[in-house]
Amino acid sequence: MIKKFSLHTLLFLIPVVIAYGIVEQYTRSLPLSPKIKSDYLNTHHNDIETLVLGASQNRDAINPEFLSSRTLNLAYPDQDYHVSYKVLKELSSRLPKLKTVIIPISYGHFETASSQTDTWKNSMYKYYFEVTVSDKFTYFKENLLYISYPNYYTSKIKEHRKGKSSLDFNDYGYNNDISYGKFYKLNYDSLSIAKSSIHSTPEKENISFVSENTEKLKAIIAYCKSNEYTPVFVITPTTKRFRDQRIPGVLHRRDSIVSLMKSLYDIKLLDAENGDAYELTDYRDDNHLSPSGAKIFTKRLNVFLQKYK
Amino acid sequence: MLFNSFDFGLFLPIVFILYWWIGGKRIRFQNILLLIASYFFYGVWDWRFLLLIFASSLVDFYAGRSIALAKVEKRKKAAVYVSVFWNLGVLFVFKYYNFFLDTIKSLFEIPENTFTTLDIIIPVGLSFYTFQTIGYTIDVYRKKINPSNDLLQFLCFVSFFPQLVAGPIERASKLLPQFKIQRVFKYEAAKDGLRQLLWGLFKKIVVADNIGVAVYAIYAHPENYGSITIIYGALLFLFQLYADFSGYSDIAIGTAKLFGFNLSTNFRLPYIANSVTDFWRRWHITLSKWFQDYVYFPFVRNTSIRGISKSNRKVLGLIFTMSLVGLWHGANWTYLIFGILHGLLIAIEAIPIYKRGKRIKLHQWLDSGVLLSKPYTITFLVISLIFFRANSIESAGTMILEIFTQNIPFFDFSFIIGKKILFLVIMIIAELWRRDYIHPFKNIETVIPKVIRWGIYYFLIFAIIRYGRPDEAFIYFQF
Repeated sequence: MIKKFSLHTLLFLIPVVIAYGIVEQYTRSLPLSPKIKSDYLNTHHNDIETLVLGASQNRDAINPEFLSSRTLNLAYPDQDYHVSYKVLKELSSRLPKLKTVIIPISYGHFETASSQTDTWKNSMYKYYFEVTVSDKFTYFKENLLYISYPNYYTSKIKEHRKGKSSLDFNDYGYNNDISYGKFYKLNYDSLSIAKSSIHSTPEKENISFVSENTEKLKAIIAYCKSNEYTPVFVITPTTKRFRDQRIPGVLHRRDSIVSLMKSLYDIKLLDAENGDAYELTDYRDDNHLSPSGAKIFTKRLNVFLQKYK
Repeated sequence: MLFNSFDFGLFLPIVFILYWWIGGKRIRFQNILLLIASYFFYGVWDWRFLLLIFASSLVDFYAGRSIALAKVEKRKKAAVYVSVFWNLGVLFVFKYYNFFLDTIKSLFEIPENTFTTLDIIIPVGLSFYTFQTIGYTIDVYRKKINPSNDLLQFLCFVSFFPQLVAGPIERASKLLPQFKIQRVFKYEAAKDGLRQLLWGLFKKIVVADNIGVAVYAIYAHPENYGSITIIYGALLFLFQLYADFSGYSDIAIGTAKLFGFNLSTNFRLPYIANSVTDFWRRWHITLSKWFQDYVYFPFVRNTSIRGISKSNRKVLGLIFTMSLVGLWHGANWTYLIFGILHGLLIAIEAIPIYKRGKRIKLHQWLDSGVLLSKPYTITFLVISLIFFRANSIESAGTMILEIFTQNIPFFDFSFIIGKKILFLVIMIIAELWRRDYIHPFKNIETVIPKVIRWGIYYFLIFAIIRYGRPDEAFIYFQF
């Protein structure tokens, strides 16, 4: 009976496995940003001199096209210091000419919990960049892309089938498509933008996370120092209304930590947080730059990096 | 380990194969395998939890034996007290100590650093297995069951992985004997178990988790939304909670069936209840029964409480019991208020009325299906569950206030969950259609041909993969 049951269950599951295999394979073949960056990494890993870490702010603000040194931007949404450290540590052996590491100092980095339970992160970094970001035991599931984030990958499959995807990525994997930004959707209308809500994390003070995140940042710096990489702190531009709604306590703690780190480890900081000089069209939303904003900011970063070279 | 995780997807078939292929020959092998599997399942969260569950099991096992061996009543009572105090003590320290201190501090305006709160995490499922073992020792004391003489069987009874972390809270009289006999593989039972498991996964992963996204956003900032949006969010939570918890129960019961076990039914369409009293006969049935047998009845029958008539004792007993039911869910005033509200309503529904010359209780009249009895029950549930879901009384108050005071009852259409609402509709239709069965797929072959049945199964699996949000924890795990 047990054999019959096991056999029937297996037979029942065969079509599921086959169907999933097809979807998974299709997902892997999609020309998504990490795929382009992965190809770029594989082609140029011997020449890459600058590595950009961080979350979506750095992803959108730094377009390697406008930097003099060959740069890989591996900033991705919700990349906390824990993940940044893993990316740096596990990739550095593949980047023999690496000299500079761009480290994000965003508003929320120190008081946001490390989210290792996000399965999409494990799978994405593992599959595209061969980086294991999870501290926990990992096995085959970390290599399954589609099921790690079905909503996202389904939308990308649909876009691809309609011929929409990958058209706006440059060779470095930077997304030049402006249409996914909130400000674009509001037609850059300042009144509509003023009325819209601002998304910012943290929404409340989370002092308990500060210590852990600071330690991770220290680990990144220590790793840079031990490998003779130059760590550079970067704060990307934000709108005035974004800056106005920040929690003073969170901001104060962030600034104190940054000051301390700068003096302790002699780290250069590019503080571009006051983004009032940028036009509305230079933003995707209140704390993410659009391609035109990224061009301005990256050029400024380039000058900054050249200065301290 | 979560039922809706990849890990469980690997764990279950491995344990299933080992259990029937290697352990299938002898009871002891089967029990050893189940114990190892259960401890592994539980230890994946945190291995330190295992020390606690093992210690609790030992205390209750030996308490049960002491009760049976004791010649004098005094010693029997002492053994029961040891077991009850141990279990409630563990529960208090891990779950209620910090809440208790905070309450004392705020009541008596004691300075912040006078007492030290504990920096500990609550072991998953603590409230479930402690209640199961308290029930065991009390039943032994009441001579309803004989104490277990086999430690292995008892350890299995306490830690049985399908129901360990979120119930059903089983009675020893039902579950313990099942570890004493050899389980024989039954094709039909296993098939039924798999179907129930699949249905539970669909309810949890597809229905509950997707509804939860909108619920989370609305409850996080109720002040940003209009009355209609808040009511919509509160209604969605009603279904999220049901799909989440009853989904868990379906997975637990279905998994147990795969191993030849029969667990208690925990839900019987609670939202079609005609009264709050009826609701608690349909919602988390094993918990309601536990409180009824071990708290409410002893309270009402306790004649040592002088000066209070039996009918008043019943009213007090209902409110007291339901307050504890509320607090069982967590150390927060919101849960207490939730419990008190339910206690009050159940007490009111126990008031006798006269209908056609017959003296009946109010809830009996409501249960007969009179007009508006269902809307009354649902409205009350929606309001009381606002307290259940909210992080604080202030937050719950804000939500309720916003419902009534928003000038423009606008609806925020960004919370429309689109096609996913269809899954909720599918769940409701399926459960109502098959309401006489413990899950919609029970005996389904008698009404639906095989081809369509398989199509439905594949559709559910597709929905689970496509709309799943991996590793989303079950709401009731926190309790």
